[in-house]
Amino acid sequence: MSWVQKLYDTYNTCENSIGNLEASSYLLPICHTTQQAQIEITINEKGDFINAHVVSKEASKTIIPATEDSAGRTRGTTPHPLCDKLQYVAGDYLLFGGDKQPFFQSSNKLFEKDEIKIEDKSIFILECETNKNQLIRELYNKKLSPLAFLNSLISISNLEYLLESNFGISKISNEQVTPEIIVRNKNLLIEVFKNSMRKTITYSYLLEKWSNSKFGNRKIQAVFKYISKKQVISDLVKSKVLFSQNNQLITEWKENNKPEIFKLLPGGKDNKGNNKSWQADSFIRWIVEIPNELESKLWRDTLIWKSWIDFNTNSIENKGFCSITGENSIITYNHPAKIRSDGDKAKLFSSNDKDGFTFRGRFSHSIEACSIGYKSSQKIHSALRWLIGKQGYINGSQVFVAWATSGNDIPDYYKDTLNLFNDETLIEEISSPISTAESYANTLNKFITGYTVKLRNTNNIVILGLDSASEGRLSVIFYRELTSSEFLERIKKWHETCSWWQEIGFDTKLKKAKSFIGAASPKGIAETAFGNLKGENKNKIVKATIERILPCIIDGGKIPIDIVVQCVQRVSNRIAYEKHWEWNQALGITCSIYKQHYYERGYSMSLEKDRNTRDYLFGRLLAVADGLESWALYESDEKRETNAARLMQRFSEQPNSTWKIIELSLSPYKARLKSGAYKYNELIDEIMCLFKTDDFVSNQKLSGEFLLGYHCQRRNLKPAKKENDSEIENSNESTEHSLGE
Amino acid sequence: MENKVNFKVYGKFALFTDPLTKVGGEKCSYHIPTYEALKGVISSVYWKPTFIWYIDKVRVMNRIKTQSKSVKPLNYNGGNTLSIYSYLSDVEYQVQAHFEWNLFRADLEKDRISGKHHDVALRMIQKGGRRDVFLGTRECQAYIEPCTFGVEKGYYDESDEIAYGLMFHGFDYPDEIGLNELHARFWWTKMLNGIIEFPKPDNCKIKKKVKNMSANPPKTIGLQEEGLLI
Repeated sequence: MSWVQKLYDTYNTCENSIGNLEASSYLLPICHTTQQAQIEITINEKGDFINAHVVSKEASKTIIPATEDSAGRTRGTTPHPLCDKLQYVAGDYLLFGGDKQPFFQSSNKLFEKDEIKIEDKSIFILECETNKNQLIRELYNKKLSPLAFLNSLISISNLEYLLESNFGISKISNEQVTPEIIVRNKNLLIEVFKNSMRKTITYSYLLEKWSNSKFGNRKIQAVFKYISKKQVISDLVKSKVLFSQNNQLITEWKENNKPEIFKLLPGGKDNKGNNKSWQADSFIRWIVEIPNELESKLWRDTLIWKSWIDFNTNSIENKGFCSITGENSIITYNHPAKIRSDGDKAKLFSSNDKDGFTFRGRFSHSIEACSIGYKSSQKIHSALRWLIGKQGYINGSQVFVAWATSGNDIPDYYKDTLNLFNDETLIEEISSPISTAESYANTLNKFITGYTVKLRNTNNIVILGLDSASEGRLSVIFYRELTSSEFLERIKKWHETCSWWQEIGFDTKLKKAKSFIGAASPKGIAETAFGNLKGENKNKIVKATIERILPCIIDGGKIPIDIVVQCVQRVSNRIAYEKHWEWNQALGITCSIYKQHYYERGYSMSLEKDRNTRDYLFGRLLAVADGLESWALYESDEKRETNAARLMQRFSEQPNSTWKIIELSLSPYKARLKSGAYKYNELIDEIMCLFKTDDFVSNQKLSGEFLLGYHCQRRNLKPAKKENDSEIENSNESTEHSLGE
Repeated sequence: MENKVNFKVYGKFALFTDPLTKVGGEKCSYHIPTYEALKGVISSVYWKPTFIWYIDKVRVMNRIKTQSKSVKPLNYNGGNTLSIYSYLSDVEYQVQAHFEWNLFRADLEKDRISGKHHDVALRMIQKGGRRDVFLGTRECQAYIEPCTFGVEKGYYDESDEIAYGLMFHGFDYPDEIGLNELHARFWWTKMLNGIIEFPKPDNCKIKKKVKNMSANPPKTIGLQEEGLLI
């Protein structure tokens, strides 16, 4: 699929950003993952301990090499090749009271049932049947269980000789097998059953293989020499990084003056009674100091990365067809998780579906249906993770990310106009109270031109939306590919057609909402339409609404009519809004989307004195009545809601009869204001004249257009009642609440 | 020998599943139809084992729009999971195809009558197909009509070249290639001014062997059944 290809291309193009640790989200080299480390150990080339420190939380993010299995591990099982926790790295873990199962090296006893970890029995059987070694074949024919089969193999003291020479059961030696030989035999078996016993490998076994391979490196060999001494914890205790009592690591530091390590890993129990992480759960990273070598930190050394990548890709043996590059290369069964965040277990490509009907029929095994190369998979997932961390929008389980394949910055389709403009002068221009539609258009042009220069036309913009219906699987819900000029044009069109006077968010310092001309964000629109729902349902609907609005921005379509209608209905019910500025915010957003949906009618943001559609005029009438009454109330220091505000809901349903009520109730206020009401009376007359005869008399329900008339007229009246507005806002003191993002 | 047909196929939804996403259960559609899907369309309209359909080119008429739907696929052992499928919505394609005799079916030699199959195919396109026509997956039902290829304005008529990367082309079934193997073919897709010209299956260089499979067609008793025709 194209999006996969695009991610692959993006990774290749952005190769310079690999491992740029300064950014909050960085592009990982393939075959690596990130982990937070607590302890740094420094050794020299010969493998001697020099010193160690505790790593502070800010500096703890480390890039570590990982195998396919270790990258996807959940509980303590498969070790990482180089940097890992004490239970993997320290040979003396159990001696110092470590409580978890150690994986430093294979135990010197026979296999226990849960130790062998053969995931896919069919692969194990396949390996046994295709193995050419006579001993293995003869033993296999005895039809033992896998556990008994393997245990009988490791109990043979001359197993190494028999495997090399290809003799059978007859040549089994009668010697009693020693614990050391058991360990060696276990390592041999891991070699023989490469695929099925992949998860049984231990830390020292893997590190030994790597350091002795042709891709090995002095620094890796130094680390191996050091850990083979099995003194990691005792060295850490001697250098006062870890703390022990009677040669057992202390679980919890009860007094004051906690040492550094206990601040990060406090130990003890949490309020559910579970054990919290303690000092034996520390994650180690290495520094190898060699004279004349500039980079001594192994996690930053690009040569170490390359050494691991080469070793890892050479040691995997399944070759097959990669569906992304079309070449014959090493393929992978396991794909990385942690795409949307570090705790995310969902995978884009999963292939272990055994109960669903996803590929059975023509295909018996998932590899037949689809195979992806190991390198390609790593590149794609690495690029996606980086992009989501850098510029993705996460909304619950939904994620939207847009990027240019060249890696350039692109304007944010997800933000409202105020937050979109990142230039101070542009923001000023649109928030100034004297701005008009023309000045807004100019500002928008300036903004877009800035990007047109940066993104030349050959650039491709990809927009991808991901969501998961069930935990564990991620699916693509939205995918578009546009040229950069198309993309910029769509963004411009959106901000033009959906622009209106907005008052979004409440600035507690200035004691009023931020006002600007522009478009609202998709999230703002969704909240306006469905913000009154509670709980789970609200999240689901808001998510679904955002998903429907985004194509309007990116494809240039109209906002769906049901969202417009929903917003209009909510806004007409003015009394339901507690805070005045919240209602103003909703009003601005609703007007903007109404305008966008009916763009062909050409609504203008300033008052249209000659528009004589029924709904527009009724809206204007309401604004005039509202203005008159609120001025009268202000003059007499009363802080009530105006009649117009209270009756707005009814007005939208039965305009004619409600207008009668409103107009009659205006008489006392007109009397109070005396000559001041002259202007308002004139306006009412003017509007009445514009009505076509039958329109006014009809009591039919009003559409959202009346809100546009209302808003424009109200704005037009503003200079006369500017003080009124700020008074009303001040009386409704509220805490900040920002919707537009 | 006349063997070309032109038709137009359109429907509300289409799901040309991308094999990468198929296995995980969260199906996502390719933006353009695959060769095999279109071959399936014309085979639903009219097909006999005597010949093999070849799709020459397809023209995308409408703008490519996707829509995601939440579905409840069933599990083998009862119960169900939840998934999200991405469909194409509101699709219309103009297709040009032709057929050639299946030379691996020697027993059907007598049926290779010039004109007969072509006439029936044209009539069946007129009638809308012998079997139900679907775009990719069975739930995406479609209609088929005769048309003239290249006439009428399509959305992508002036769009230059758009590349779609490596895409699935079709399957090589044993009865059509004469080997007892199933292969999957892939190709680097390009769409020029809305038209995609498919390479012939033999010209697809990128193939993947799926598994061994043997063709097992029902035996034919030939055109002259005893006692049927007087």
